[in-house]
Amino acid sequence: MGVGVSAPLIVTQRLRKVYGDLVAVDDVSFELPHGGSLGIVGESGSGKTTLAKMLVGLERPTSGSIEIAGENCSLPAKSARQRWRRARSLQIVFQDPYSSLDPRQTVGDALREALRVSGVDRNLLDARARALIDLVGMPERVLTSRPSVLSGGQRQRTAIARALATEPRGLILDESVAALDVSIQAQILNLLADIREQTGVAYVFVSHDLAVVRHVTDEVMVMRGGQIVERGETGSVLDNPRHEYTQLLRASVPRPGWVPGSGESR
Amino acid sequence: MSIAQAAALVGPRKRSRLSHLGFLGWIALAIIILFAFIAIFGAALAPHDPDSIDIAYANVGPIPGHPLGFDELGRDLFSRILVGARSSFIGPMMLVLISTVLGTTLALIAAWRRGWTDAGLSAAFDIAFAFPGLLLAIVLVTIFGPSLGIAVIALTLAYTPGMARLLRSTALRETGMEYVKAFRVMGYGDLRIVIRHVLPNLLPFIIAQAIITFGYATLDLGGLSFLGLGVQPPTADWGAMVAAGAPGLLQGYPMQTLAAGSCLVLAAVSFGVLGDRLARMWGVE
Amino acid sequence: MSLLEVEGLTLDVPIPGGMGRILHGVDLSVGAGAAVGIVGESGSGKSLTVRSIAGLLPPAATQKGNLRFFGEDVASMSSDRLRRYRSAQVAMVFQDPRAAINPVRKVGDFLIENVVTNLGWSRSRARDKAVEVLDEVGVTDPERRLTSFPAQLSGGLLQRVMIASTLLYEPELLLADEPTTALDVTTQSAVMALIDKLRRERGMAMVFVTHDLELAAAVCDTIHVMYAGRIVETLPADELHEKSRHPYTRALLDARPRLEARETRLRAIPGQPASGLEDIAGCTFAPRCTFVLDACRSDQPSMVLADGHEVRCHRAGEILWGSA
Repeated sequence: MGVGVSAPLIVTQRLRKVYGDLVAVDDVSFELPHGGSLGIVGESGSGKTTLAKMLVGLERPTSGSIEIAGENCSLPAKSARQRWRRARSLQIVFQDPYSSLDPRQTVGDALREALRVSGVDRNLLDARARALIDLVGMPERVLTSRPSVLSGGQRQRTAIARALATEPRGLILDESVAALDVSIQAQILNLLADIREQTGVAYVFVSHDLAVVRHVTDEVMVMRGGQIVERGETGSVLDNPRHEYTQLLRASVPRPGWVPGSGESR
Repeated sequence: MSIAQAAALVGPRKRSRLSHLGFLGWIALAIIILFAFIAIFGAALAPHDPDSIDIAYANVGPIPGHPLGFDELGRDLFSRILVGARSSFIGPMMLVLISTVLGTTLALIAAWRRGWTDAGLSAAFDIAFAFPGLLLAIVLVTIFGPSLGIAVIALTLAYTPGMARLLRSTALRETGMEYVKAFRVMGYGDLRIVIRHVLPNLLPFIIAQAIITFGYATLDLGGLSFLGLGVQPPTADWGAMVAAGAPGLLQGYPMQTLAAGSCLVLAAVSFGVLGDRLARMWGVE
Repeated sequence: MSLLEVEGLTLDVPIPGGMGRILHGVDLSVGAGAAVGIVGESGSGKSLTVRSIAGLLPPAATQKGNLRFFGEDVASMSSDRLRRYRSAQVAMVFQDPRAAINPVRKVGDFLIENVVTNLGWSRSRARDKAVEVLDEVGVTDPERRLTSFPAQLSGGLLQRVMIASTLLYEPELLLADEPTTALDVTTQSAVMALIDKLRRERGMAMVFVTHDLELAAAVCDTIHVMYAGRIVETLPADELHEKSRHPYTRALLDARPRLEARETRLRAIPGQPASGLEDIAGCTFAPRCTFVLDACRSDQPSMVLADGHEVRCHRAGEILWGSA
């Protein structure tokens, strides 16, 4: 197991997931360097969410391998102990800020519990929770609030703070800004950029939104029907898409001068 | 669609949470509180000794000082009704408590582990649920002799699978929630997630179910006592009194059966109504 | 005379402690065959506005203001007239077709329900027309689709069915509440193209509600930007980038990341979108506005004319904007 600084954070080889007759993910191989930022772009049915779930062990691959921080994670963790270890490598922030938090827990309790489970000493819990809240740009009074009184943006910040409690080397953002208002989305995107700068965490950004992916990622993979149809440096893929599906995606984004239905089939 | 079609989709006005309790719900609650009160203080409230026999007054109807008259052995009915509340309350309470705790545990195990564990447990629930509790009670009584304790044990064995079945689907839904997935990815232990997070979120549903079950428990235990398989004489118990008063019914002395039976039904219905209204109020169905 | 005129639309809804005002005097008009966009974020009141026009508010809400359809006051329509208004002249498309279409009935039943029940068509006539419109919206094998159930169709296809349902008769106005928000971007493009085409062919007017400014600009003639229950700017769609003047509109345009190039930092608007319920003296956007003055905090701005269109801002004429 190579754990040198040069070894990538995530390496997948020929990852495949099949549900009965449906091939959700088909022969996906990629690498994420430490501190890197990879976008996975696709629409519904592309397999991007299934891929994300396999990376964090919520789905078991049908075949293929996953290596995270040098450890073989091709199968979901068998014990809580193993899950705990992997939690320090990769975490996930889901799309829906409402359902990813326990509605009965205050933000402070949720963060302190996350910190406690990840091994932080009891006396330091409060200070670390405050530091996390500060990191995600929220005032301390949020610590005593329950999710039901928070806005979507605040809940998502809470989810991000919680995910960072284990100090993971990588964060998977599964459409994490898709459910947010445009003005809030901008805040969260800025926040994510800041966090990456401060902590050196790597991102896997799963999204259907090309503009968001452009802003946040260095490299991008375009998925369709479970397969990667195009990949490369984000700027060049989006400026000069070679695959017709990528071209179609790009042509479908509303922007000044855009006419609906341009460049497409049904 | 036309707006006319869409209008059919606009739902009814949302009512305030407490109003879901409704008039009937409040009445049910009041009856249950009264019931509990009598169960606790019945002995002290009884105007006469519920066990003192006086054959001269056998099956005599209401007279001043004895608002319900007398039973077949001349004991004051009113006092016996008051004292009988105790076994009609404690028995069901034990039954509900134990079967709920066991049922919840089994449901959580099935819902958490899923796969084969769930399949196996579900099958077990279904088979056990199909077995009539009454039969089990008779078997146990034959072996161990009749008493309230045996009746409670028998019915607990009968109720637990039913509870587990009922709670399993809600437990499945809750364990499928995204926050549970988040906790697993974060490395939380199974026990922590289930006990500290899933269970508290299930509690409103469990409590509402338990209260509804109390009503059935009241009737079932009363039924066992009626058959002589539960509480034994001379202890006053509503179910036993319904049986004891049965011969009197045919002879034109309905009071014992009527009074004891009404109390049983009233208690059972009140629990059912309260449980249902609480479920609505807490937004669980 | 416009097809639809909304004047002073005000909506009060029950909140803990009484009633709260959620829409504050919304004015807009829709000309025959025109497409009007209403754009806003959460709490802007855009959805409620269009539901008020459709008369689809929960009973506890109180609505004030005038709603005129072809000059006729909707509130005082006779029940027959109202029935015609709601079943033949105005149609609606929702964000989530699965929530609006009964899953236990066949697609064909959904399509013909309105014209058979409310307009008295014969089933065979309705059925023939249904096949025709399904074809028109690009649904392949329409005869077979009539007997399908909603669960058997994808989201995009179901939304096409929803659109098709508005074409059996000839409504003059289409109310579309975020019709493509739940769809993939490629499907959105196709569905919008379809709506556009049908609209032009039939001369149907449209009120299009969305959170996506660029989308609204591309498919509408006029855009109303809403914030906290009020319209804060009204302008022709093709002037959105060059001539918009309200600080909120500009901020919204700036907040989106651009597809063409990566910016170092997005210009995010601080704070949260406000709802109409907030009881603030002065401009509701003031707490988040970069150009705020004292006057903004104490005086509620009214609509003023700036650069040929209406803007609700005290400083509309003063602030110099760079090009978009």
